[in-house]
Amino acid sequence: MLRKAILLTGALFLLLPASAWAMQSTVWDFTRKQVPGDWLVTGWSSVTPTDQGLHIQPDTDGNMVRQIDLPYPVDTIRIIVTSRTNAESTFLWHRRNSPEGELIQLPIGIGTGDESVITEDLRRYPEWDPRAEGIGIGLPKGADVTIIRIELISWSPAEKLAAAWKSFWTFDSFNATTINFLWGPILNFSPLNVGTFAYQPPRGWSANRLFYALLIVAGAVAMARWIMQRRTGRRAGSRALRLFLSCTLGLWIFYDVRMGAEFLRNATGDIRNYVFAAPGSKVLGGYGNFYDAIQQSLPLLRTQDTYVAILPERASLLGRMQYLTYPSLPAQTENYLKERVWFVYRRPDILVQDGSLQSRDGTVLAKGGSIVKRFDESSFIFMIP
Amino acid sequence: MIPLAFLIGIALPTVCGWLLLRLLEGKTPVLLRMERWALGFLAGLMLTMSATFLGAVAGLPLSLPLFLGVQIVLVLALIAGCKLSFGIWFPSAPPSSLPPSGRVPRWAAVLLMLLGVWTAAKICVGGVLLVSTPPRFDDTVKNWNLRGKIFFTTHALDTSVAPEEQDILGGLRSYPPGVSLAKTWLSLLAGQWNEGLANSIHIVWFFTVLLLLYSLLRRCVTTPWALFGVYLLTSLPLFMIHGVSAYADVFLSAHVLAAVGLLFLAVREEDAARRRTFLRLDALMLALLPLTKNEGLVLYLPILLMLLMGCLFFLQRRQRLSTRELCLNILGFAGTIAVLALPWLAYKWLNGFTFGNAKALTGLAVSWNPLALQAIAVMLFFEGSWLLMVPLLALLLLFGRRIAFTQPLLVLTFFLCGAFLVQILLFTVTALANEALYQTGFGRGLIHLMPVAVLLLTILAHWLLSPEKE
Repeated sequence: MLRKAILLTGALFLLLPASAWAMQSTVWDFTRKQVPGDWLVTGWSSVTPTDQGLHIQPDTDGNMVRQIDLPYPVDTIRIIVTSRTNAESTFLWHRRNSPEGELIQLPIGIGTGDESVITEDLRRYPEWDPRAEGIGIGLPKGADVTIIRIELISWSPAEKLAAAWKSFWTFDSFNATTINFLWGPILNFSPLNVGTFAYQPPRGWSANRLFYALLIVAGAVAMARWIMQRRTGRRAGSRALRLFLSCTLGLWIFYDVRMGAEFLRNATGDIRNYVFAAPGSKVLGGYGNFYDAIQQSLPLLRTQDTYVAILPERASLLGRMQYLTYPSLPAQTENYLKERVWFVYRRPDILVQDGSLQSRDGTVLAKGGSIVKRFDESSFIFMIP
Repeated sequence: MIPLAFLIGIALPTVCGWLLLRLLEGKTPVLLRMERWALGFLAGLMLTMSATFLGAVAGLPLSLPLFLGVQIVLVLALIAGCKLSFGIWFPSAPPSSLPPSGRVPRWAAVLLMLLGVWTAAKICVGGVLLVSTPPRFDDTVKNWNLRGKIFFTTHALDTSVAPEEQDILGGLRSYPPGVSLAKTWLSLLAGQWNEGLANSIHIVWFFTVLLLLYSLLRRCVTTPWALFGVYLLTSLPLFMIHGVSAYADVFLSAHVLAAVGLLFLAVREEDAARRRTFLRLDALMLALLPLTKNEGLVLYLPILLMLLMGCLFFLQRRQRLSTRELCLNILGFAGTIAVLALPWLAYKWLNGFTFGNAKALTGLAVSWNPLALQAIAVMLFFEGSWLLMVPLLALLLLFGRRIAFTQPLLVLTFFLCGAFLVQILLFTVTALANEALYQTGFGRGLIHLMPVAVLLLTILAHWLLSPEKE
């Protein structure tokens, strides 16, 4: 019976159309002086088709829009450009049945440099219409951009499922909020999404939605069995409940394996990278080499009652310094001048030149000292003898 | 030296607590052996640290002789007390009537074994992480460990005179000092401040809550089910993270479980003498709550006192408690709380420290924040902190309402629902709403309730699946 079911399912999968397996995409290539389709340009006077692509140098804020009528829903857009300026551009679209001329704008940053690829997973914006009737690009005055290619992509169900499975097993790392809550597994259906937890909140659905759906199915099956058996069988209710709770237990254990694996991966990573690493190369999840730098600085910091700590704009590091170096403490601002030891961490704007500790704008913070210990390019201890 | 300091540092307060529990049990011992050790550690540590705190308030330096002196005097006094009470040395506990475990199906045994290995791996790796890496989470470095380190360095409770007149503790003096003092005690024994040693005590609290949960469950269900309950608690990802972090929420959860669990056992007990013993023990654990964390005083003690009064009147109505016993019990609870908690409360009041946690109670203006409720819903149902705990418990309460809302299980249900609703109220209608929006305080508040929630869930699931139900 089971074998038949597996064979039947396999056969059904094979009968699925090719679109179920491969992505579909439309590519508009602007190189070799081509301009695919009819674009309506508003506000720009300098739009030049070139061999490298469509060169746009707007003298006023404007946009170019064209109509589309694709046979598939669009999930992702990919724009390949070169730019001579940092431009705050916008991706535009016209939703079906919305008033004519109404365009939704999605800000996209274009950085200076050679060919850059801007990829947007449009499905994560509730305003996105996968069957939009028109799309376009807006550029501000002063931009200098060459559009090379625009791709409109529709992922196949198989690709989306594979992406969701992959993102389910993508782990968050230990960070300052880990003690307060854990995001848990995320289902992200875009194969392009490489950093599920790089965004806060993470992009995608909570996998709990899937678990609840499965629990509802299990509950429905259990209830159907109870309805069918309650007249004939004794303990039909118990059996139905047992079925439901067994499914719940299975899901619970699966969920525990996912979360436990995340915990073990992070914990063993910290043990390997901090406990077993040599001094000078120790890294602790979420804090880089901060703890290692402090550990190496302690003998020097502890020679003083107070010292100066110049840290990144991240208040939580100061509290950690206070604790780790106590009874030596970071000095209050007004006492800086008399301090002999300066702990500088991840501050590329602080330099040492000719025995002076100074900021990049030239303000001298301390004189007559030198770097006695360096932890990385922008972290060191400056000491005045 | 450090392992030795750890062993002595844990053993001495535990023996103290064990003796006190034994003394309270008197001629009617009711605790299982492992229960007495677990509760002994909890009560002993808090008691000895509170006594040390009083010594320091009286002007004695917060140094090793004070810690040691307090503990040795207490141990000797309790030994003498036991000897005077029993006339003999510690009579052994009568055999308890635990549910027979029966035959475990092979698949269940294999599954439990696999889950046990999986859980042990997580705890081992987490334990190594706890004792071998520096503390990284906020409250550890800004409160629990920091205060312990300052006590250790200055030998004084008044820490305002730090170098450069810096007051790095700010409002933290209003927090009960027990957890930090325990770290100071271990470090003084070792003769140095060692991060691993200072953090190690948290894993003991983690094991204590697991042991307590197991023994409470074992009184109601079979061994496999009790083990399964322990697995459920350790599988909760945020609880596991806290179990192996130097935070005080698992510590408080152990105290809450002890206070609720003993009341549950008292209500469940048929024998009058044993019930009296459970109530005496509960009075101790209840009175220790204000000494644990601020939430113990402002959140859990009031709810538990209400619950206690309800239980006592219920027992009296069912003629399982005479009016005289009712009065004696109320006086006993009031007296124990007064003796143990009043000194700390008086100290707070005399020094002008705030009452409340995170924010002073007096500063909590009332204003409804619907976004906070939405954030709470997301935390409960759409994040990974609690797996499927919240919807599953809600379902089991629905299916098992026949026993969940009648005594003795009503004790657990009432406490859980009451504390949960109060927390939701606090995080939606006060300035604490920001903590819900930023997902800081609310999740940690749930840690305190999870052992009781798992206790209830396991008992309900066991009952729902037992053939006798029908």
